[in-house]
Amino acid sequence: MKALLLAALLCPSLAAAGAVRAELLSSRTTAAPAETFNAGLRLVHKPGWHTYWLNPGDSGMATRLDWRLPPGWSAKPFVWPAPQRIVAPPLTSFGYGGDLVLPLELTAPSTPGRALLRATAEWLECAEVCVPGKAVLNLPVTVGLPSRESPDGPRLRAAFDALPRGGPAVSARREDGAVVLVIPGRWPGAEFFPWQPLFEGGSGPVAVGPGRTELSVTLSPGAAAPSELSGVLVRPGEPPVVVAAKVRPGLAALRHLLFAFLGGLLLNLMPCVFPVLSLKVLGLLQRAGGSAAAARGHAAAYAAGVIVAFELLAAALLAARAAGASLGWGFHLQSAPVVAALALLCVLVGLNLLGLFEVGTRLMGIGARASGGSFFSGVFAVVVAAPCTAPFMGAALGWALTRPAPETLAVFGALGAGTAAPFALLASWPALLKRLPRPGAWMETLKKALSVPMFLTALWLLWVLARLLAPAPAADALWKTWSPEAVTASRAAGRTAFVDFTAAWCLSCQVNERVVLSRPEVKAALARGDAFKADWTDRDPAIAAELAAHGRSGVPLYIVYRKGGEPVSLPEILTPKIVLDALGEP
Amino acid sequence: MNALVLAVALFAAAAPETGKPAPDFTLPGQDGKPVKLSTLKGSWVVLEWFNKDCPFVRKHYGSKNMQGLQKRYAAKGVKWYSIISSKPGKQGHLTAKEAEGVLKDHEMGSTAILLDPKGTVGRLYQAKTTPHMFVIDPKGTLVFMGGIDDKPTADAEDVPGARNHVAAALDEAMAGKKVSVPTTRPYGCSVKY
Repeated sequence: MKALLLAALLCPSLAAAGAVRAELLSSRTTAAPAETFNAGLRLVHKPGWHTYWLNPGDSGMATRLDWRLPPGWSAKPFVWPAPQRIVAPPLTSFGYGGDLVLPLELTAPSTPGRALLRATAEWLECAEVCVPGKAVLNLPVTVGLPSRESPDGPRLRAAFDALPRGGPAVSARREDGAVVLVIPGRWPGAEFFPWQPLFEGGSGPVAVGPGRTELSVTLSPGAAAPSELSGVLVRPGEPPVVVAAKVRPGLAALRHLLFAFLGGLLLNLMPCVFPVLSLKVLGLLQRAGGSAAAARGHAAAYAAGVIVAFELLAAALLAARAAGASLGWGFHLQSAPVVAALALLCVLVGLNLLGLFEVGTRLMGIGARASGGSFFSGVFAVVVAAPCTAPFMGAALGWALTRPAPETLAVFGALGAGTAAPFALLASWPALLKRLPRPGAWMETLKKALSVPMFLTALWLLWVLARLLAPAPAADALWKTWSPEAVTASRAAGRTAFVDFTAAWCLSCQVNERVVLSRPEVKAALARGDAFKADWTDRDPAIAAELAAHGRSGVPLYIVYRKGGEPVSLPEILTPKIVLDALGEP
Repeated sequence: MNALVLAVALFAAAAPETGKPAPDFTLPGQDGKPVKLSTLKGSWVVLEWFNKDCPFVRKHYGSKNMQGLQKRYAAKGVKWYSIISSKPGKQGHLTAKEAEGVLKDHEMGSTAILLDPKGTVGRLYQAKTTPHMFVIDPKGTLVFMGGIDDKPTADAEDVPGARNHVAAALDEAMAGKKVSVPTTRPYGCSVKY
């Protein structure tokens, strides 16, 4: 460092730190009072060496210049020329080599005189190895008239002329773990350099069409997509340009919304929802002849009820999680009073369908003229649908809950829209209703038949309730109770461990256990290692934490540690082959 | 070694992610003893990518910042491994014997220096820079990954004013709190694969 300082003293306008030589340039030997003129930091790199751009990419450090200016002087920060991509697999950095000028503007004071401007430049110079460079640089400039150009004037003008200019209008969208920039035109060789240090270094065209080109930049681990993407776009044969665009939700988000909508449609066929929906349709048939406008009003109110109820559930869950509760979707089936109430409700609806009493009819607002009745029957549909959403859509909704709040609410909204869609469509187009059978005695028969799934749902809920109130110990000698310590011990012993994260109220868990995990060949394979059962029927924070560690918020989850190795999660719907393959069995 | 390469190949696709299990590995220490991450369950573990000649590493060793952290957390039972993924012939590569010398000369407080000359574990963790830091909880979950602090320079004068992300993550996580900054951008020299 002493040698460096000495060199700086001996040679005031030039300093070297090995492979890079630094100097300050001015376009004026004499600047007019108050004149703003071009200046710059020149870095001359030895072949193979480079310094870094504003966003250095995967490694490196942006070059800095700190001025110590005499009174009355001011300096703008330098403007970054378009960088080059420096590739050293697996890393990509952004920077410069060769003879580089980082241009900037200086403004002289209004009083004439001689000045010595000083600045400290700091950079990182790298070839295979990296060396930090630092130089204290001097720039003598006279202020007076007439203004006189220095020999460096043309070089600085050229540096300014080569800077990136305003570019074409572009758009950007968010995808899973990346942001995609869409530029007009066909540019197979285009490169994009993001200003924000949120991305991995590599980026290149991912889709080149005749009219537009898409470039994808991968987000760094843990980085959230920014609301705006900006940077330098370099197209072969064109001057570099600066582009910026708001980042819109991408196709990935739309796809999730579509699946949520389809899931909502399916929900109508679930044993707990179908009877309620049927009642609504029957009520509509009975009132056939009522005005179309009134029917539409009912449809809209019902849809609003469904969507609001789903949003309220999602919001309650988000709020509980924000407050630190370890809840996942299906949480409403982890509380005995809630399960008991839902079971009672299902019995009441079933009895009502049998025609034993008519209170429920009014409860569901079928007879109500006011659209308020339809709104609450929408809410009611969600309440009775709740037991079914856990087993059938727990995993998908669990995923939705891990997203930022607006996305979660959007997914639940789409789910509600899907749930409400069939009835809303029927009610809005009386022509569709006319295709249904005419009202008659069959309706009473159908109602009675529909009571069966309601009673079955009630029975299932009672069974869940029984498990909640008296958790049965793992009856099978094969299954050990899960704990993190037990799994650690098993892994340390190099044994193959299988963990079944389950809950009594989770239908797909029960199906997997009965159809796959209890098969003799699967049990035999499990017995050769350790089989652990983590029962989440009752709320257990340790299990919730473990689910979260695997990126889940609900059950089922199946994890295999083969011979004590890394955890591998299995699909939610098991087959014997999937389990045996994962266990390493022939 | 074949098993290790296989294990690496199997999990190469899965980028390390905070909140997820830290990828397992086995590497020899400078003392010749193998270290297997999954057998360290029950302990807090810090992984530090190391290259003694990198100016950014020298910033933290010259200022004794790194040794201070190593010793402070060793006293709390944290296992701290400095990993060298430099290829033989490239900057920062050390033989086991040389690493033993560096451990003493640099007055390092690391539990061991781990030797990864093939870069398999570096690639497994997608280690980009020296230093690049990882904090793993006693359950084997990665709770922090990224740069050592928020002043991405090679200047030792920037150490005192910086927020040390590793110390913050360890202090928060060991107190049972959520790590407030679980992922940061690593800075430094590129790992010399």
